Amino acid sequence: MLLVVTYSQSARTSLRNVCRAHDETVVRRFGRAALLEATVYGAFLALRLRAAHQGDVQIERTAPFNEFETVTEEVREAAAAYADRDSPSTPYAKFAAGTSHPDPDTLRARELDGT
Amino acid sequence: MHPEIELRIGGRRYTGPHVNLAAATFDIEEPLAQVVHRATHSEGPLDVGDTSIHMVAPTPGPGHDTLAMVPSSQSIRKRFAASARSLGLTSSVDAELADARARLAELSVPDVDLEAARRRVADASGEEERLRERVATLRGRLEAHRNFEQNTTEEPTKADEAAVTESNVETVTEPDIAAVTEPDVATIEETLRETTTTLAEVETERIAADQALSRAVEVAREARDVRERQLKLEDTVANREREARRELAETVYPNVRDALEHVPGSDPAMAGDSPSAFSGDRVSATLAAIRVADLSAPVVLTLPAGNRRFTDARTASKTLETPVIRIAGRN
Repeated sequence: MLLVVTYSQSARTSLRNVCRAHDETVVRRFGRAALLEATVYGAFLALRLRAAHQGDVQIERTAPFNEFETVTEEVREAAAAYADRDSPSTPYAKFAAGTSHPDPDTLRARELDGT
Repeated sequence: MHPEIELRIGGRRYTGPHVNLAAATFDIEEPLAQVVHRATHSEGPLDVGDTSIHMVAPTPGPGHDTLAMVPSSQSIRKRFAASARSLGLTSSVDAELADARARLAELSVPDVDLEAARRRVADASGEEERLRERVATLRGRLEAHRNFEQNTTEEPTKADEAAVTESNVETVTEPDIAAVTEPDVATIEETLRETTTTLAEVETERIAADQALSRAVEVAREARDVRERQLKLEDTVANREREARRELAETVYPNVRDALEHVPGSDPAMAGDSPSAFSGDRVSATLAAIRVADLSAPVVLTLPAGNRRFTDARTASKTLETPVIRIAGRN
């Protein structure tokens, strides 16, 4: 999908008008941002917005996230274990300390494949 | 009580606390009401095409701009708030509003332009792709030649000889056969070497372009942080303005309700207790707001024949307690 984010009142208003007029190309709306279908038409609408508002419009492209392809079992397990923790107020760094779960600094240092 | 105004348009001169342009026509492209309104806010003469317009009148004060044209698309709440401002009334959020406006004005928003960096990456990637394919093609041809040569260094069979004599090939020493319709191997090898060298250069450029784009993206992210602050401030200003207008309109509303009694063609019974309860017509609301306001610069009335509230400019000016310029409205 294409993610369009606006950074000014007028860009935001234009995005709202575009979404209203081209509902079939809008996947999801978030106020000042929207997800558009990854078709040439979606790209065309995004580019029109950027041509009208320049730096106040950001366009990114999303990709489906498959955690089984993108991160290791270790990371998936750590996420599940943390969600299942006994004490809700424990931050992850503390939770992982002394366990085999990866520490956050290690995770931050690793880029995802394909970036 | 009301200052004299002097209006000069296209060689004609009008003076008084009220001016009636209803019978006049001028050779101007822009709507006359708009031109007159602009002239009110201009120090010196204005040129519209070949026509010169000069309004000599007191400088417009707070609220004048919002009240000056009747009819217009301004909301009645905005009109009432403008009336209040002209009287010097303030709202409880004025300080916050001024603060947000000041912070917004101070913000310096850097440009975000990644287009050149993106184009550079696309160009370099495309070129790299093209050259890789060329290298692969050349390697393929070399390989084919080596296979061919390998096959023809073996003893030729009778079938091979028959094939040679039957094909349209020039005879006939063995070293010549491989060289006939294609450039020779040495040429291909040379081209491959050159192409490989160029590919390496292009690959270096593509990597540099990728890195430049990455850096530009980081810079853009910071610029967008500033833009986000700008957007939040814009919203804060808009919200405070809205709150101020609501308060000011409420404060001045009793005066407006009273003034409605004096506005021809209005129905004071439609006034209600508060601006949101007003169910009368917008023109009446605006005229009442003008009567309440303290305006020294003129307002421009362009009411259509079906909605003409005053018999002449003089009556309008007296009722509205404001200098009036009356213009023929469209029917």
